Formats: sequence, C-alpha cells, structure tokens
Amino acid sequence: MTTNGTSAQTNVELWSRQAVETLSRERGEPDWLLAWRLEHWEAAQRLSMPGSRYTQVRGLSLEELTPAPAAAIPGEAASPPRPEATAEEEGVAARYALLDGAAPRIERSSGLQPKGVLLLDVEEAVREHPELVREALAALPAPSDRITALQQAFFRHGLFAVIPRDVSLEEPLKVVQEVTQADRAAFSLGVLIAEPGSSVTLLEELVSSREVERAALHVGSLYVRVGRGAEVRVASVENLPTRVFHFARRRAVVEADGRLSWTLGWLGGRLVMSHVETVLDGPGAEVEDVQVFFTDGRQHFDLTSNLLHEKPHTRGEVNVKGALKGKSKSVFWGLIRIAPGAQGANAFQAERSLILEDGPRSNAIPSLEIEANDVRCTHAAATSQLDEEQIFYLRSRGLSEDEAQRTIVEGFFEPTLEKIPLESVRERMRELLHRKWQGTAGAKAA
Amino acid sequence: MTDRLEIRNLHVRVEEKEILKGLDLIVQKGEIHAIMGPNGSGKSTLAFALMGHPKYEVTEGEVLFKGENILELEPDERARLGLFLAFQYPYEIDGVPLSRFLLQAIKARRANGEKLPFGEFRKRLLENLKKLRLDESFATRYLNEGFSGGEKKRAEILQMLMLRPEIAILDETDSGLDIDSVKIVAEAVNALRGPDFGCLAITHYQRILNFLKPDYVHVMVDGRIVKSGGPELAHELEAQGYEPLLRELGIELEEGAQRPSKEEEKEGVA
Amino acid sequence: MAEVTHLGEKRYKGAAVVEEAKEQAVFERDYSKYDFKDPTDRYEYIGKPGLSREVIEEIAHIKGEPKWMLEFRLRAYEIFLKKPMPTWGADLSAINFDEIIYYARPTDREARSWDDVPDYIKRTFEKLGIPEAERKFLAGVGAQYDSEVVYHNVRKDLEKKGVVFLSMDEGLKEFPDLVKEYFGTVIPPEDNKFAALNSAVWSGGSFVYVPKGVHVEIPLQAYFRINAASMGQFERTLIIADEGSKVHYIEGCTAPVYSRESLHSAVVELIAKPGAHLRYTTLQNWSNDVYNLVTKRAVAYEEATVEWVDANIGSRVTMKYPSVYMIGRGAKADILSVAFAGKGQHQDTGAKLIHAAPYTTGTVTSKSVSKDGGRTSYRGWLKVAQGAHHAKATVLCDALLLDEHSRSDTYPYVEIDEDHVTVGHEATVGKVGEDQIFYLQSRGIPEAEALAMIVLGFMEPFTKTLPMEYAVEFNRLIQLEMEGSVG
Repeated sequence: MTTNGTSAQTNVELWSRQAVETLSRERGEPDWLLAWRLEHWEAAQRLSMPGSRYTQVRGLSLEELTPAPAAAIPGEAASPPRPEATAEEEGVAARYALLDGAAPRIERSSGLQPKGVLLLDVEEAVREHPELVREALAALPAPSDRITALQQAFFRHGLFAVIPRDVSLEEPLKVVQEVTQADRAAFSLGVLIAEPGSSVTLLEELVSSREVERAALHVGSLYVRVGRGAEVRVASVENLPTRVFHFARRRAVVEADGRLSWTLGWLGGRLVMSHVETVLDGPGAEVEDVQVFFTDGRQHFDLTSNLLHEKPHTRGEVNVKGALKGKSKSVFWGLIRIAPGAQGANAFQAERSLILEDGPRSNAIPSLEIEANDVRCTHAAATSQLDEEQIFYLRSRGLSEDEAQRTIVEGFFEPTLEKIPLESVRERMRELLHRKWQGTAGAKAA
Repeated sequence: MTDRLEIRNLHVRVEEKEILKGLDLIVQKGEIHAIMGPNGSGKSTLAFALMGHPKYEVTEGEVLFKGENILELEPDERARLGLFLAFQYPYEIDGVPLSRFLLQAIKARRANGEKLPFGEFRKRLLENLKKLRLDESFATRYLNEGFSGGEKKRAEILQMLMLRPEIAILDETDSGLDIDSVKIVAEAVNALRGPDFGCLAITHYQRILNFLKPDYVHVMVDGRIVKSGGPELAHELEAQGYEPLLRELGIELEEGAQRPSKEEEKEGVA
Repeated sequence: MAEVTHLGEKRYKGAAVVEEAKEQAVFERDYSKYDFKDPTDRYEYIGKPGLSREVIEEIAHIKGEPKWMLEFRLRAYEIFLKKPMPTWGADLSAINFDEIIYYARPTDREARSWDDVPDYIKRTFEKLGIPEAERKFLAGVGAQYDSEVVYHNVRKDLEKKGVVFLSMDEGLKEFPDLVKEYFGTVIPPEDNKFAALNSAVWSGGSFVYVPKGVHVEIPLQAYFRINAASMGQFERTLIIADEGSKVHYIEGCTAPVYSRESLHSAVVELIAKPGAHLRYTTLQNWSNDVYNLVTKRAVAYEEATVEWVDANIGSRVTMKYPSVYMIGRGAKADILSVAFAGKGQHQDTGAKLIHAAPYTTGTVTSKSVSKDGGRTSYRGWLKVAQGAHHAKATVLCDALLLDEHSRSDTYPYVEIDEDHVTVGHEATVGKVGEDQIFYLQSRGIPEAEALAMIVLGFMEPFTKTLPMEYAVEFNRLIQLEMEGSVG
C-alpha cells in the first residue's frame, strides 16, 4: 500500500538508523547528541508499542508514516498560519508555533528581551547552549515504549525556554502545535527551566485548522524543572482532529518550595495516551494536576498521572474528571509514591468519570506505594451514570432533555474547572466542553 | 498539702511561640476554680500542658500534684495519678466502643491487680449514662465517632464520672452546648463535688458558672493569671466585659481578642 | 456503617456492656505456646524432600484414590512444571521446590473422637484450645496436622439433617460422584502455578456439603497445623452450599518457628447455589517462615451471598486474593480483608470481584497495618463483564503505617465492560494520629496500649464479623504483635 505518493519501502528508510544519522549531521549536531539519538533508536528496535490490557494502539502503522521533515514539504503550508494579532496584542510574552512538527516560528514580545529570558527552538538551543540541552535531555527517563524512543531519536523541534533566577513573567508563553497532514509523524520536545525564584506560565495548544483524512501521529514531550521557590503553571488544551494518534509525556522535577500546576484539557484525537509525572524533589515542593476530558465517538483516552514524593513535606493533588459518550473509552492510571523518608507528605488523587449514554467504557487504576508513615495519602476513583432522577427533576422545571443533561454535565465539571488557576484557560475549557457537547448533540440529531 | 495541684511559674511554648508566661495557681481538692479570659490568653494551652500533650513544651516552672512534679510524667501516668482533662475538641477513635474503652481505662488505673467486678462497672455505667440523659446504646458507639458536638461533651463528662479523678480540668466543656445540656453537665460535675474532688473549669462564658458555682474565679490574660477573686468576679466580667479590667491593669490586647470570635459566639448560642 | 449479617450470633443485640462481660468470661490462652513442635519420629509416613511423578503416585497410592484423581494430579503436575513463577507481587525467590516435603502422614486414620487421636497430636490441639472450643461453640471441627486430617466431627443433629463435614480425602471416598462433579471446577489447575502444585499433591482439607434449605447456625471449624520442618501443606477444600442453605466455615492456621521455609499452598473452592449464604473466615497466623500462597475462589449463583473474611497476621509472605464470581442475577459478594505485616513480612493480599450477571453487588473492605519494616500490598481486580448491567461495586482500602520503615501499596484494577454500572474505589494511607494517642493516654491508658487500641479499632470492621471467642483471640494476637512497638 502506498500513501501520500511514497512507497512503504522508502518509509522504512525514513525510520532507519541512517535517517537518524543524516538528520543529526544535517543539523550539525554534536557527537553526544547523535549518540543519544542512536541510543534511543536502538531502544526503539527492541521496545514494543505503548499499551496495556486496557489500551492497544490499533490502526496506526509506523511504516506508513513519514517523520516530519526539516522543512515543510512543497505544496504544504510553508509555516504555521500567522495569527492576525501580534504576540503583544494577544497578551502573551512570546509565541512559539509548529506545523506538523516542522517549520518552527518564534515571536517574542518586546518586553521579553531585557529580562534575559532564553527562548529558542531546540535546534538553535543545541547550537547556542549545548550544555543546557544536554543536561535537560539527561534528566529524561529512559523510554519504556517504541513511540517515545522514536520521538527521542527523531525529534527536530520544540520550545526551549529558560527563565532566569527571580524573573517573573507576567504574560504567558504560548506554544501552538498544529497537526494538518495525514500519514505524518510529528514530534516535539520541549524544555522549560524555571530557575530559582522565577515564575512563568506556559500555555499549550494542540489544534488543527482542518480535518486530517487518514491517521497521523503526534508525539509531544515536555520536561519542566521548577527551581527552588519557583512557580510554574502549564496549561494545555488538546483538540486534535479525530484521526490523530497523540502521545504526550510530561515530566517535571520540582525543587524545594517550588510550585507547579498542570492543567490539561483533552478533547480531540483518535487515541490519546498521556503520561504526566511530577517528581517532588525538595521539601515544600507542591504540585497540582487538574485534568478534564470529554470523549465521544470511538475516541480512546489513556491518561496517567504519577506523583513521586521524594522529599519530606511535599504536597500533591490530582483531580481528573471526564465525561464519555458514544463508544469511547477512558483509562486512568494514577500513582502516588512516597519514598522512604519523605515524611509529612500529603497526597490526594481523585478520578471521576461520568458515562452519558450506553456504550462508553471507563477504567481506573489508582495505585499507592507508600514508604513513609507520617503521611496523608488518599485516592479515589468512581464511575457513574447520568442520574435519571436528576434529569427528570430538571425536565419538570421545563428544561429539554438535552439541556437537562448539559446542565448536569456542566455541574459535574464545574468544581474541577474552578481549580484551574488561569481564568483564560478556564474559560477556554468551558467553551470547548460546551462546543463538544453541542457537536455530539448535533451529530446525534443528524 | 499533698492533695493539691500546684502550678508554679509555668512557661509553655507551642511551636516556638511562648503562650504561657509564668502562671501560678493552686487548686485544692474540694475546691472548684474557674478560669476565664479572652481569646488567645492561653487557657487551652494550660489544659494541654497540665495533661502533657507532646506539642506543648514547658520551658520553665513546675506543676506539683500530690507532691510529685508531674511534668516528668507521661500523660497516662498523670491520669493514673488522678488528673483528668475534658477536651474541648475530643478526638474520634474509630472502631473502639465507648464501653470497651472505659473498661480498659479503668483497668489501666488499677494496674496493681485490684479488680473491678464487672457487675459494678456495668451498674456505674448505666447510672452515669442516665445522669447525663444518654441512652444505654450510647456506650456501644465508637468513641466520639459521629457524635454531635453536644454528645462529645457529654461523653467527656461520662468518662470523668467513670474514672473518678481527683482533679478535673474542664476545657470549655460548656461551649457549643445548649442551656439544657450545660445544666446537665454542671449537675454531673456538682455530683462529684466534695472533699475528694477538685475542679478547674476553663470557660469563655459566665453561664456554666451559674450552675457550677465556683469557689474561685481567675482571669487569665496573655499567659498569666491577672486577677483572682470569688464568684462575684465572674458576674463583673459578664456585665462589663474584659475591657474595664484590662484598662485597670494597664494591659493592651490586639484588636478583637477581647470579644469571643464570631464562630465562638455562634457556638455559644447553638 | 454497613450492617454485617451475623450467622446465628446474637452478639450485637444487647448493649456493649454485655459484650464486655462475655469478653471477660472468655478463657485466656497462653499464646507463646504456638511455638512448640512435636518430634516426627512417630509419624506413620514422612516423604523425602522434592517433587516428582513418583512422589505424586506414592501419595495417591497411600491414599488409595480412584484413577481419575491420580490422572488429575499428574495432569496438574505437568501444568505446574510449565507455569512460570508469578513475576509480580511478593518475592518468592527463597522457595526451593526441591527442599520441600510434599507429604507427611502423622497417623493412619482419621478419628471421630478426640480419644482416638494419638496422644502427642491431641496434646497439640489441646494447647491450641480446639477440643474446648468444639465443646463450647462449634457445630463441627476438623483438625489437620501436616498433610492429614487427624480428627473430624460434626454435631449429630446436623449430620441427621444431611450436613456433610469431612476431610477432603474422606469426602472423596464417601461422596465420589459429588466430588468428581465439582472438584477443580472453580479453580482449575491451569489457574496459576500454585493452584497446579496443590492440584498435584493435595492432601487433607475439608469437604462440606449443606443440603437445600438447611441453616447451620453455628460455625464449622477447621484447624490447620504445620508441625514438621520444611513441610509443605497442600490442603484442598470444597464447600457446596445448596439452594437456600446457610453456613459459616472458619479456619485457623499456626505453625512452630523453624529457620527453614515451609510452604502452605491451599486451594479453596466455594459454590453457593441460588439463595445460599456462605461465609468463609480465615484467621491465618502461620509462623514467620511460612510462604502462604493460597488460591481461594467462590462461585455465587442467583441471589446467593458469599462472604470472605480473611485475616492475615502470620507468615513471611502471603499472596492471597479471595475472589467471587457472581454468575447469577442478584448475587452478592462481600470481601473483608485485614492484614498485619511486621518485621520481615510481606502480606500481598487483596480481592477480586467478578460481576458476571445483572444486579450483582460486590463490596471489598481492606484494612492493613504495617510495622517494623513490614509491607502490606492490596491488589484488587474488579471486573464487570458484558451483560452484568446494574452491577454495583465498592472498594475501600485503608492502610496504617506505624513507623517510617514500613510500606503500604495499593493496586486496584478496575475493568468495566457494561453500561449502567456504579463503581467506586477509595484508598487512604496514614499513620496513627499523635492527638488520638494523647487523648487515650489522658485517660490513663499507657502509650503502647493506646496504640494497640487504635489499631484494634481500625480492624474492628473485621473483628465484629467474628464469633466472640475468635474476636477475643484475634485481639490478643494483634496485641501480641503490637507489644514493644513503643520505644
């Protein structure tokens, strides 16, 4: 079978060891980086696809995909569409955009320069600050599946940001990644270093301007270091086209008294596998992880949130909430691990799914591994259906069935949405959830 | 002499903050003392320090009971010596029925092999439940688990009646109780009144003292007893509040400390 | 709090003061006496260590079993050889299958009266209080000593009603058709390596049949004792509660301390026919060199209720996940598991609820305490199969860690393949509050006692399902475990 005019044979070459070597040479990368890529390429040959008894990757054949090229292919859009407003007008400190894993574009607001914030595409960063990149890459855990290994072997772009000591960025950094091409494997590898005492917000959007006609793969990873006393907020909204397979790995190391918040909204994609891991690596480190998802059709979301309390007096809270329609599936894996000696740790993890009609499936595996005793750890997971009585009650007040259901679903999400620290993200999530509701409601009517 | 609780120059710190700053007080058996004082004056700290809570660090002074410096003793040793504390906020212990707990506490007191015939224990328990207008089934419930505020306070007094201490400290046992419950609690304490029982009642309000009729009233401010007197002192405070007294003594307090906080006021009328 | 149905006990009818009186009246036992051993030179037969076809043939030969059973054993042995060791859960690397004695026969017959039990064995069970308990409050007693059941008796009135309570070996002889029909149907040898091992070398255990509509109001008890060193005990229990019947089966386990590992690997199969009520209680107190790897599973038909009440205090390693397959509409499962892991112990326990029919209800309550570096793990599997609509399941796990060296894990797997299902899981890990201890101390209770009291209170949901005498014994065991826990 041929796809996109390229034979499968050529595609095999595109994933070969030589392809990695060529990529690295063309970019003039240092030897250590080539070695790092090859190490992961080797790992990819022996690792299997990610998955579990609950999630299998089906309908995605790597051999039929083309890794994102160095530049956009002629005939495709040359670069991400430029938004009408400038970064400054949009109220962000900087914008970073990728189109199908290629053609990075950075816009910096004028206020950014004097603060000494380092903001580069990772390709540039390798040239200009190789030691920083090397350190960040060394902090990534060894990949445990083929997709992550390939991403680390073939990545080209991603935002590399360093916020200097004690610098507070009032306006967020914004990363927009678009997936528009079928049969493409788009990778990004982002790094955000918040030095001690700094403060920053990172907004991520995974979107598309159009439907993708066949399967596409997007793999994104983000490594965050929250320095001593620093504060980092990462908010991401994923609304990819329905044939996209999206794999996301986010890992953060939070040092003493650092604070991190993850806000992740999941709406689009065919299969989403997300892995969030926060290492609380110093006393007083805190993390809050709020995730909201809404699935329909044949979507399958597999979300993991791991809290690793390595040091005493660390605090972690995870709240995951999702609604499911159609024949969709969700799986939530939670882990709270308290290392020996991490006394005074406080961890909470809750997952709730609401099944909106017959058909969806939701599973949860919230695990605990506790090796210190002066701790408070609680997790909970629950799956429930829309309450017929509640619907009846609302309808008796004159609401249509759809309105009644929507009211209940909004009420279900609201307490979790309120935990989102950024007003703009909260509003955007509300809007997208609402639109998704309408979309499915509309589709049902059609 | 030996049957009294004597507090000398007591200084207590909680998490690096000095709360009691040289408190002196003597409670003789046979006497009922009331300690009143504005919020944050250290009344509850005094109660916890006397009972030996590990978070309350005594930095100076001594507390003698029956001639022994009890500051050296573990909380349970103090209890076995005859001291009792009715907690303002009793803790919940799941899965431990109140009656089993009482039996074990009584057994612990009789470590030297002296036995309490079970029939007698049962009789006393039923009597005391009745005295506190509590149903017999109350004793089968888990210790303070799911008790209402009023039930918790009565359970504290039930324990006091069962354990028959020589000196009882009541830490705001009246707060959060309706007037009928205050009466019931006060009656129960009065029933123990006599030459073998002394009581130190810490309170924010005058009303329990109407029933308890203390022999002595002390005013505590900023970690010290600033004034002592007879029952009339309580009436004075009730009528005029703490301000005139504080002015007279030349003490200035932070804004809001003189009056009960809003929650406490609510609790007081609940 | 959910009310637990009691099987013929009137314990909670009166006020707790009555309960206290009974507690006071209960005999006191010397618990240090669990650790005594009898010499094995009086045994009728004691096998050589190691496992082979010949060993299995020898066991079957001594027992004089029908041919189908020998074939079953040999088939299971092949499966045992092929199955890998579990790669998850506790560390089993110290088990050496070549050093284990698979069969030891202390006496050549099973007595119906304590008088007929060999004296040295009788003394053992007297020390453990079994004959006394039988007289006082049991409907029937079985006592297994290493591989064989040495005593078995059931009350005459129950026998007349058709209640069968025999050793598995006697059951096979007297009710061959019934045994053949059900044996190995709930847990086939293919299930796991240790179920295969048990199937190959099983000996002893109980066979219970309760006829339609018969209620056995007081418990049947089996007592399992490992005496010889390096002994493997592989009892096999099959309980069939026929339609509308009711029975409570209790097992207790002890062993003396050796420095070598012993293996206890039982298989327990329960069948609760429509409307039956079957409760199985285990009070496991093996010595700390026993590997306790047990497969327990029940099938619950329409409107039947199965309750597993499982306490694990002893053993070095326990891996045990009692399960209930709810295959009939409206079936109920209630699994209550408590575990206590002290120094060097790993209690890897849990529960499996399999909802395979509509309107089934499952509850799991797990309480664990870890101390002195002990480790408790909860491993659960909650499955709602297709067609099991309106299933309801609740899983609650609470863990207490008594010191900073101990560990607690929770791994609850949830898998739902049906609509209209209500499922919830909750777990909490924490320590005993300093304030709670202070509160109890302020009443004159010494710190160590206060701690023990809180731990016992934590386990109360389990204790209150036990008959009084067992509750007292359990509390004493926990108090013993707690001794010296305050420096």
